[in-house]
Parts: sequence; C-alpha cells; structure tokens
Amino acid sequence: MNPYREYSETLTHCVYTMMQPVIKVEDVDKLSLEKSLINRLYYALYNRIVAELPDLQSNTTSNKHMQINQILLKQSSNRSIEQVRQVFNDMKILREWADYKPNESTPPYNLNVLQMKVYSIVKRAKIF
Amino acid sequence: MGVKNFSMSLALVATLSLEALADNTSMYIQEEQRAIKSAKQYLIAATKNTEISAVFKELKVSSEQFNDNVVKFLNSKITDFAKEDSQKTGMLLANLSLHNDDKIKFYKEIKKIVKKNNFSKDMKEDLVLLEHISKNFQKEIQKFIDISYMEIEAKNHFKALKLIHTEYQFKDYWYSSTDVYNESIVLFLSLDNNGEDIFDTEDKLNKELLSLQSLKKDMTKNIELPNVGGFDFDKMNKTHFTRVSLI
Repeated sequence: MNPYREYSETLTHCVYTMMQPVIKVEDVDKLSLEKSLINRLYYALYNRIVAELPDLQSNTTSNKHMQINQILLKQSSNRSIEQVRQVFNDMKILREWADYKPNESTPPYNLNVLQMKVYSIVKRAKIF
Repeated sequence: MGVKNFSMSLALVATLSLEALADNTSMYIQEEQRAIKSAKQYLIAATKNTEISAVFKELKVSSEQFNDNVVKFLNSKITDFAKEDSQKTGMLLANLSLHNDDKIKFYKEIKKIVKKNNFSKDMKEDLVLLEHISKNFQKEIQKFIDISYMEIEAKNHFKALKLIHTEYQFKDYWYSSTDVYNESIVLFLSLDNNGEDIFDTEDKLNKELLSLQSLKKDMTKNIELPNVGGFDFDKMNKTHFTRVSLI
C-alpha cells in the first residue's frame, strides 16, 4: 500500500481509537487532546490526498496545502472532488485554530462529525 | 488616575468581560483626553517645551500599554464580544475610533507647531512614534469594525437557518475571524445529528444560505454609510459567507 495512504488510515484509526470511552485520559487536558485529534485528522486527510499525487510526495517545498488546494480547485466541477477540497480547507482552518490560536474562542465542533467527514474521504477507493 | 495606576487596571483587563473592557477603555480615553488638553493649554500659553515633552511621554506610555493590554486582547476576543452584545461592542469601537481620530488630529496640529518652535530631537521622535501608533491603531479598529459586521451577518444567518429548518437542532456557529478579508468565508455550524448524511444536510443549508445572501444584498443595496474620520463601513453591505460547513 502507498505509505502516504497507509499513514493516512493509521492516523484516522488512531483518532477513532482515542475517541473511545475505554481510554482513560483524565490526566490529559480535554481541550488539548481534542486539538491534537483535530491536528491528526487534518494530516490524515492531507496524506490521503497526497497518496494520489506522486509529484507532491517527492516535493520538499513548503506550502503544500496551497498546492493541493490548487490541484483540487482545477477539478472542482467534479462534485466529489469539490467536496474533498471543502473538507480539506475546513480542516485546515480548524487545525490552525487548534495549533496556533490559543486565545481564540473554541469552535462548537463535534469530533464525531469531523471524524466522519474525514473518514468518508480517507476510505474512498479513489479521489481523483 | 495617573498612567501608572491606569496601566495596573489595564493589566487586569485580560481576564475580564466586555463591560470591564469598556470601563477600562473609557478610563484610558479620559486620561489621554486630559493629557491632550494639558498639551494644548501649554502650547497656547507658550509654556516650556519640557512640559509638553512630559505630556508626550505620558501619551507614549499610555498608547504602548493600551496596545499591549487592550488592542491585543480585543484581537482575540472581538468575535466573542460582538456575539455577546453587538450594540455594546459597537459603542466601544465608536468611542475608540473617535478618540483615536482626535489624537491623529492633535498630532497634525502639533506637527505644524513643531516647524515653528524649537522642539528637541527627542520630542520630534516621540511625536513621530505617537502618530505611528495611532495610525496603526486606526487600522486595527477598522479590522474590528469589519469583523463586527461579519459577526452580525453570521448571527442573522444562524437565526434564519434555525427558523427555516426546524427539522434540525442547531447548536452554535463559528467562523475564523482571521478570514475577514478573504473572498470566500465558511460559516461553521454545529447541530445534533439527526441521522441524515452530513453532506446532504450541508447541501440543503447551502441552498438556503444563497437565498439569505441574496436577501441581504437586496436589503442593504440602498444603504450607504458615510466614512467617518478614517473609517469606512463598507462591510455592512458585503455578503461574507459563501457556504456552510457542519462541524
């Protein structure tokens, strides 16, 4: 299996596992844990898309998010690809909040919804 | 209240509410208005430059502390405050913008006098810095005004969607305020899952959003608010949100 795709699936599975009630996380700050999960979900999606973009796998330049968005945008007339682009960009906004904006108000997210959205794309046989 | 005591009270602002912030901001404005009035009196009486220099120093300290304690705080809380009470937030921004406008006018007057009088190098540098701080602050207030209009739109859309789509249990809304100048802004919504496919629900809500945006355009197209001072209110007519996303 493509290592990017494998990593993407591992990350979503990891998030799913961490969300289960059997995991005792009393010692972990709830918000910090949720922020970590949002970050991992974003990268799950990121790697799932990169799995189908060999040029980007070997590309070491920064701002790959923008490059991915551009690639998806070019095919946005395809409803399914536009859906991927939207979820990808939405997760980026949430990840930026989670990683860089400690003073901003907390979005009213439901991790189950985010996980479902990301997973519905990660499990697709084909994106492009 | 001197600048020192004032700065101590500002230090507490970071943990306080919109009301407390408004109260502290009023104190800041009163203090600076007093300082500016003194400077004007000194100038009329052709008092020694040392007294005017002291006022400059006071304004400099006050402006820098205000930037650290209020502007940075507002930057992270403006959406919360506008969501909590847009009228009070609007009043706070109006007071800030009018006062800042007065300061910019005052610095312009002083600059004319600087040319005639023998001001020291330090005083000239202080004046340049004060003007710079006020102009930066003007940009920040403009951004706060723009975000407040975006918040009003988000709140109205959320209310309308709740009224129209009673089949969904809406919980709350959110958006990234740093996107305020983006062409395409997402209105994030949370609602209780009723078992429907998330993407299907989004499609339904997005159709409604388009109608709401067109309604807003119609309602605001003939309203033109004049610019006040260096501020514009163009965002009032703008439609910000291009789609909704369930989170």
